[in-house]
Amino acid sequence: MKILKDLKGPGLKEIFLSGGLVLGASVIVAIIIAALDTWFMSLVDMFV
Amino acid sequence: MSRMKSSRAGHRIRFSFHIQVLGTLGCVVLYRLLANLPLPFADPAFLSAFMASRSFGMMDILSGGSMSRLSVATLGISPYVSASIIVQLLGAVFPVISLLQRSGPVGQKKIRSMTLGISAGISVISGSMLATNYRNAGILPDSFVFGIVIPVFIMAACSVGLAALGCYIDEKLFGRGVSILIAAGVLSSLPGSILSAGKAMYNNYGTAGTIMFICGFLVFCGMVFWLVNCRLELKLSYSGKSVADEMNLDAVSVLPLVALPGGVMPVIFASYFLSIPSIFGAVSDEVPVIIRFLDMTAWFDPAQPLMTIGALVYAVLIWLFGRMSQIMSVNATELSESLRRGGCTIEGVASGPDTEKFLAERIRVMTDFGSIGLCFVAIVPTILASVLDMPGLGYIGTSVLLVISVMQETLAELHAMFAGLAYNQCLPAMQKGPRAGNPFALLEKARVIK
Repeated sequence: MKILKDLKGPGLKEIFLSGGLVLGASVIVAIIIAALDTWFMSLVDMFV
Repeated sequence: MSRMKSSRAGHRIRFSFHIQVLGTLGCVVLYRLLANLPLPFADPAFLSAFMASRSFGMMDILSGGSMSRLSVATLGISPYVSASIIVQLLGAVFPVISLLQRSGPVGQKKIRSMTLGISAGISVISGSMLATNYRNAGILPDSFVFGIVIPVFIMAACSVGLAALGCYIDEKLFGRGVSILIAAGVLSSLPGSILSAGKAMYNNYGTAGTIMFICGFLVFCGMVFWLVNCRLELKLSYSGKSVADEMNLDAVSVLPLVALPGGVMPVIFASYFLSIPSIFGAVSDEVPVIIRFLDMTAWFDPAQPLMTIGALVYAVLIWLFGRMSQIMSVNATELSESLRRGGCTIEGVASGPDTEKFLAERIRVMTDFGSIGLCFVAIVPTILASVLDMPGLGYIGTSVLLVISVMQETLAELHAMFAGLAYNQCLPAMQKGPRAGNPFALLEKARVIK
């Protein structure tokens, strides 16, 4: 436990900024993937 | 003339960087295409009835929804991940493999080929199990060639191809290939899970429930982000005159020890064990009792308390894989030796065996702390899922952890590459400056330009 006293993690500001960036990027990628999936599914329905 | 050459080199590096990023994106698009391409000869009418009666849980999430769609990429990268676990365990038993794992790029290449070979074997076995059941259910034709041989060949080839694609991204393109492909698969189903959980909260608890869910989700993401980034910083002191002193820079050197030396690999490995019930669910109507307790949706259910043993097994697996990845990635002996060779010591600790003992203890404590954090993040949502009676919520913890960790790693790598590009852009200007040739000055300038 004494060792963990020196533990350093991102502060609240960094969590808001960097964490927000990571979350925002994830949302954008998720939207792109969802759009790709929909497009591929419609393509498959068209050809198969 | 030299400025012109540097500029050309800069363009070449920028071009290669763009190609690498586009290549990785292309691989992700190819993966999603395969995940949506249906398996040939599968009867769609039987398929939808069969899929509606089964829950594929974690396996379906990790395969990016391929399993529930019965696509050509049904097996996903799971055989490669299983093969990686086998090779890592073999490394603990056979010194030859352990030596290869530690012998740089050449050894890693051999390990990768060995893992791909084992994953091909696993793909054929799991593909045969799936194809046999699908044929019995009437989804695939009765013919041995069209119902078993061709589907198994396609599924196995796709799985090995995806694994090879992941390795190719690792080696030649941008990012950690296998993690990126897994995260892309998870991301395809995560928004749906979050939306349905939010909807269920709204139906059960109204607007207040939805707001609480959104706030809880954001706090949870913050906790995951903190865990992925927390570290122990050990201050270093130099015995001689350091480069930073010569440059008159106030450089404070620290040795960071991260809580998750293997990233989220322990969770990915442990999650594949949780997908075993899904495989059994897919190949037979009756899931054996001994396997059923690995089903996340059955944990913390007051009606069947014994099933919660599965959560304990999951926690132990995460801890074990955490230790395993720590052994593979950080070595106290090598670290202390490289510190000694670099002429620096940890503040307040004597060089040599004392440093090694000090580092070993701290690495162990940090890894255990990281494993406990991973268990918390992965298991708490399953408790909430049981309390709130929302089975889908259980998978969100592991999925969010995978996505945030991989996304952060990828963004950090992207940032580092941009910093490299900025450094390269300022090179021609630096060459005629008064401090030409000073690497610290170049980095300073790079930071200003960025």
